[in-house]
Amino acid sequence: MNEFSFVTGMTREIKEGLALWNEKAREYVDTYYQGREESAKGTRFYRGVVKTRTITNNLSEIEEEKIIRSVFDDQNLLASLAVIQDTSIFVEEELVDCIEIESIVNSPWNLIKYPVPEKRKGAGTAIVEGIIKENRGKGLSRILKLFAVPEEKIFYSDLGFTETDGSGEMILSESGAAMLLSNLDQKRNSSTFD
Amino acid sequence: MSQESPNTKESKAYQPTPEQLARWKRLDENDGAIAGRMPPEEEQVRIFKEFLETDYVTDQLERVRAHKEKLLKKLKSAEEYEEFLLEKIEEREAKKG
Repeated sequence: MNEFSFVTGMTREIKEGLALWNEKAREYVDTYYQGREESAKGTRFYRGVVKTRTITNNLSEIEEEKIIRSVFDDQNLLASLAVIQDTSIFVEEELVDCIEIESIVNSPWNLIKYPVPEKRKGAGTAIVEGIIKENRGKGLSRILKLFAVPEEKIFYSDLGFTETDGSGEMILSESGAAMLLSNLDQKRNSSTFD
Repeated sequence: MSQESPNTKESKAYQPTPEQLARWKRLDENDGAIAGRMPPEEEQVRIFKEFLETDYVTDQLERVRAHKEKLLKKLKSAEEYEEFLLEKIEEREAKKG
């Protein structure tokens, strides 16, 4: 199981990481998609490029108004980035604190389906785990809310998120978060899965 | 001194259920994580083309400069207001005196 280090805030390393994401994504488009938008369209890699771009196009504003979290892999490469904010949701008619994950996006090498050398599986799981642990450490809510496009729902479902109203909004409850942490500990202690 | 069985380490490891194994496998296979709302399709095409056609560093520099300009305007406005309030305090003190 790959291990990642969790980073809080917007650091110089993240800015360097995002520049590298752009550089590598351009390389991948040339290598795997003939340098054409149409050839990459519909892929997870394509959605990742769009999502990353929507973040970097507003980086200064995001840095001022939102919270940035990231994970780095064993190569010291930025592996996944999340933009989060504090919010509240109704749970059983009671307003409770919650962390809204506005965006998560993995590095292009963790999104592209081709076996590129930089790829390290598990970055998406690691960033969700990091956010839960950070909030647990501060004694804050571990309830997470996010919006998942249809193609990504299975991943968040397997992490323990449940859909609320079919719009794509998904919630990870306190108990779901605790189960995820315990499950990941079991995975780390398992010799049969690597 | 007891001799450690070669299987000791393995027997201490957690033994996952077949369901867990299947779920962990799926998590790794689907770990190209993206979350959050996506722009409408036309906008996605525009953004992807912009990514292909623009130099990232130059584009970021333009954006950060525009943001800096906005912040400087806000700073100027805050400084003007601060100056105005200080003048008001001075006027009030002068009237008292």
